[in-house]
Amino acid sequence: MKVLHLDMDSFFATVEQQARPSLRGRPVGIAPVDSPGGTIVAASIEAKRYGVKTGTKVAEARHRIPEIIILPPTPEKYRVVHRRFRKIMSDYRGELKPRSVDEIALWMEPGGSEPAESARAREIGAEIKRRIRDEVGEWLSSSVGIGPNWLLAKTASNFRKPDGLFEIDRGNVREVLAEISLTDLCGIAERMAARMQLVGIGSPLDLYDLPPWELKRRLGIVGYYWHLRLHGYAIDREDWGTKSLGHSSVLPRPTADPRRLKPLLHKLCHRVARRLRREGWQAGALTISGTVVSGPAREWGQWGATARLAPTDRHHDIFGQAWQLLLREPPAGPLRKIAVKTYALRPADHEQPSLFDLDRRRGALSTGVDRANDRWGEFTVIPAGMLGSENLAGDAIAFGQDLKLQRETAAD
Amino acid sequence: MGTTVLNERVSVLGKFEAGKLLPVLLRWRGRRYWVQKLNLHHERAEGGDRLHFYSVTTDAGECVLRYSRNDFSWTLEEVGFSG
Repeated sequence: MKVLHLDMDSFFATVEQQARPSLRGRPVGIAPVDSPGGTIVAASIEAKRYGVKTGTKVAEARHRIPEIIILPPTPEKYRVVHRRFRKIMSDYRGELKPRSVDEIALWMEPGGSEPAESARAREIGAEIKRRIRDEVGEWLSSSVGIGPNWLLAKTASNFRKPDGLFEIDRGNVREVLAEISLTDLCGIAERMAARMQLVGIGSPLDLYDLPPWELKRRLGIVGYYWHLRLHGYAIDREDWGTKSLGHSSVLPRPTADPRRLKPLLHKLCHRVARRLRREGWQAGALTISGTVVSGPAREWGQWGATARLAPTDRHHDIFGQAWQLLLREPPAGPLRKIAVKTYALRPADHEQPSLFDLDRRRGALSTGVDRANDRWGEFTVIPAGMLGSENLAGDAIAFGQDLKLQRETAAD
Repeated sequence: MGTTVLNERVSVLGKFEAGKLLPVLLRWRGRRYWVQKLNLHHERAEGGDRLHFYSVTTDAGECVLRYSRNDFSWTLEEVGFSG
């Protein structure tokens, strides 16, 4: 069995270059806020050549490439292009699973010998790449990775970027793993890599070569799972479930003043509550967090506070708890970014009927507000406390799992 | 290189092809511009309206046209200058 993983190259930036041919061949960075402290969320292939990448500050990007063009993200464009390449991939037999807005994996139907499966996967991969250019946009380049499981297919897609088509198989797996670092493997971040290094595993090749019992001894069951993945076993066909739901926003000017944060907090809670209702979830816990700017060097730190909620999907409850948290556990300095995240999600149809009339009336109010906003546009009816937040926290697209696209995929 | 945001109503001659509306010719400030290439088309719901955005290349350069399904109007959103 083969897995084919498609990864669009420098997706957001390439889509903007597709829409505007005069940007092609030029360094482009996508940043929600075009200020020196703003962060590049996507860089074009041309900008990457100068070391500008996701996470680079706008000031640093301009320092490296004075002529870089900084554009705000336009999520509708990215979703449209995602839908089109997803439609192309759905023409091929197998199980399709979008991994993010710019990545889709296809578990191909097994059939024939390994070389025959391999040849078919390469042929389909090349055809998908060509069709994306022909049918969606000539500037849209993608990299396709093929492997016996998703992890190796994803690793293969990153191995020859941009515009790559590469397969990892039994014959070349050691060669590939020798060229990459632990953090190049999806699922190993800095902390996990440090933990592995502490027990003498310094490279993916170490993970591959050590016997499973030894990996289990050094890393526990996680080590055994890595042995299986790197040896081509399919153990990661997990469901694409929603675990948490949240929104965040960068503040144009850092502040610790609760009165100035209040409209934005209202807006983030309003958006979270509306999405919970739309998705049919109720949240059992809430975290507010943010990036704090402090000290003469304007160093960044993290702040956060958590509370449980009686399961709810209503703005009144979520904002009430978030506001209490902000007042009770305020950040140590001005916030540059603030986020509201709900989790411990459970389906809303398990709601216990309330004995209190007020709860029922609030539920009816939420339904009425949703209907008005569905009909007349987002933020037509808003909580009064949200006034003043008009230019903050607009539509944003998730790097990971965009819920709008997730709903569509489920309906396909 | 830069873009100018205009948001000016314009007359557009369009065609329906394979169930899709495509701009062919636009008239702006007394001049006619032929659409040479559709680079990207995307849509956005705005209340009860559905807005269609066409990023096109005309014989004079790039621009973005917006079509409102509510009142069948065309707006020249943005004009880009290359160079």
